[in-house]
Amino acid sequence: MMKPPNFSVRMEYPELERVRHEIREFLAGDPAMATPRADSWSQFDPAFSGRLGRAGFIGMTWPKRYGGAERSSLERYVVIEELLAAGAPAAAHWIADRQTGPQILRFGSEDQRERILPAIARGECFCSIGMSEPDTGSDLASVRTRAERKGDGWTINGRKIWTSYAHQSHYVLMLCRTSENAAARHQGLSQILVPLDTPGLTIRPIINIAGTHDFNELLFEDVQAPADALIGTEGAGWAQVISELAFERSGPERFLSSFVALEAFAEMARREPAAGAAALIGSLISRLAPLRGMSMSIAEQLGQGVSPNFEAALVKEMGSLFEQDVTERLLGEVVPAADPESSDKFKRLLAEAALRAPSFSIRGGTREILRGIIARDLGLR
Amino acid sequence: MSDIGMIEDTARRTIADGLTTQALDASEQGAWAGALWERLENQGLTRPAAIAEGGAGEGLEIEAAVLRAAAGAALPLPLAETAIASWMLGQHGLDVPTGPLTVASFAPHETLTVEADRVSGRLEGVAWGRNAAAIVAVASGNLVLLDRESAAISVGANLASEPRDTLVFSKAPPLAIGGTADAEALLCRCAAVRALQLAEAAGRVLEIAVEYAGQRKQFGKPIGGFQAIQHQLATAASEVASARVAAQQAYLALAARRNIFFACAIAKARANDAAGAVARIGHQVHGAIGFTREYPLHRYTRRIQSWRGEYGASAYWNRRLGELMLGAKERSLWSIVVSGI
Repeated sequence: MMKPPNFSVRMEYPELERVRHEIREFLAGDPAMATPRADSWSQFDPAFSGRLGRAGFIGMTWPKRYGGAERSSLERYVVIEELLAAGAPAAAHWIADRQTGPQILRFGSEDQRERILPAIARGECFCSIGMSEPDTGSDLASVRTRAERKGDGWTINGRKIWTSYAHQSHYVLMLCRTSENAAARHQGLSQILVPLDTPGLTIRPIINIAGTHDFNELLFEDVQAPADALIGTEGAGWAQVISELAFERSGPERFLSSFVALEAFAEMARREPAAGAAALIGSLISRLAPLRGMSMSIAEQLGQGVSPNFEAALVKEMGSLFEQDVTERLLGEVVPAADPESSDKFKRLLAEAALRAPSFSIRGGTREILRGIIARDLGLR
Repeated sequence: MSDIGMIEDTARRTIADGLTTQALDASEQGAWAGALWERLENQGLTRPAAIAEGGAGEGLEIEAAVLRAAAGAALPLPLAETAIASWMLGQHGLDVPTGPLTVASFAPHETLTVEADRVSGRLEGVAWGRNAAAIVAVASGNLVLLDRESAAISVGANLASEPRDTLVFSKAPPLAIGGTADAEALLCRCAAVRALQLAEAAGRVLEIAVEYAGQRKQFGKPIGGFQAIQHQLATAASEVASARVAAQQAYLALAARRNIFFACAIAKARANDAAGAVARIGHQVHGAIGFTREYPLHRYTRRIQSWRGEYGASAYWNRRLGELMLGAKERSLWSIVVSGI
């Protein structure tokens, strides 16, 4: 008998009203909000992230001694969903706040925490993910980039790819092979934090179909990293990476990436009523509301130290389909054409969302990988 | 506080013990599963809210637990309708008669009128109308409790052979008249219940399909080992999860007496579409065997296909939900998603 996923939802979150008010006040007064963005957690604006960090909205759940605010994981949830719903350009700090910082907090040494976390929380230190390689996509355990112990540190050789904003960030958290064992490829992997200005590291741009430069390819040629660049335990990299995934896969960025385009459509439909507008909005909102409940339930469980990976995979599977369907439906049913150069908010946001939509079901684990994870939890593999 | 899990287990066991294939088949031929009804009644499961030791919220939790068990077993008895009718009567301070009850809701159009304390009009598609001791409906803006004996009945059925009868009242004396009642509130209440039933029926289809995919071998291995099957079932699992959450959100809104229309509209639309997708996948995974009368899959998929339309198809609820949200001109969609309306 299969075990059903655990989603227990609540209706009232009175403890979250204060933080929601705080972040809405912050956004209402922030200059970046003059131009809301679609897929806003892929829009890099270091000045915005700096303002957000100084206002206490980055690293919110971390201990105060590392620059955090010791707030709950649900309070953080409220902040990030409000950023996305408003279209705030949140890419600069996103990965550091969501993944790299929490990994350092969980697995890092005291020195690493004190050195890096306060700068992340201030919105001054940005991080990239060093997982994929040219020959390693969904099959992550096949990574070949090697880090060898040489003297007092590490020497890294290899390539990483799809490394978003490596050209504007400070660190890349690498998944490297630190020992060879062909029979057990999930062993011998380690996480190493490498400053992006290290000699021997070449960053090459890859332009995406939206015409923007988010992605990079990273070439490591005898890159030297000190011994204390290792995050966590040598050889435990796979387990550490897996523990990141519930954080990476269950958040509101997995279903709200195109929401601003829907909001702009509603504003337009209120000005110029159109047949079918209500049905379109209703059919999308009736999918969004339960998804949000599921995602909040996971945030609450994560705050209690549970790692609901099955539940997270379900949210990402449904969520990426939803955020793609938002652009699909708007492109298919609404007359004004998407136009990236338009001064009309709806046309511009729809263009921005539509051009980025193909990535929604690829980044953070492809649709196929997620369905495989769900199938395993159903007992099929 | 009652132990919800224990009540759900009790309901599941009681239903499993009394529900044979013969009983299911007989019911489809129009027989009333009276012995099982009595057994459920003796356990108090036909009046779930009355089991509650706490407030109305707990009553709804117990109702949901019992109805999950019933829908997960394709129980051919009006537990859901009886629960709604009892709840409505309780809300209006009216006594709840014994025996099976039903509810007739066709909001936003009322079809009954009260004149000089006599009720006239026509109710179509009344679930289990022929078996119910009494019917709860809204007539001329008031809640009324009607005696089945006072109606002229012509029988009908849905795709799952569940009774869906037409009842005509002609100056019938009601058993009771309650206070002002909103036909739309009744519709929302019924939609929440069907959403929960759809989610559970879909959950059962998923279970059956996963089990079958693990046993059925082709090309030398269980078909569940093929990605084509795994991915369909993964999709079904996500649909079931979201339908269950949507139903849970509707019940929370009912308990809180806030955002009821919003949450019930979402729940019914989501559960309709999710269950429809799961029924399609369930049949596809089963191949020909799932299309036979002998195999139990149809008990659930025929119910799903009927229930999707009952108390509002998705197109109805989505349109009304969108109209409500667009009509709140001073509010963003987002603020409504967060705080309700």
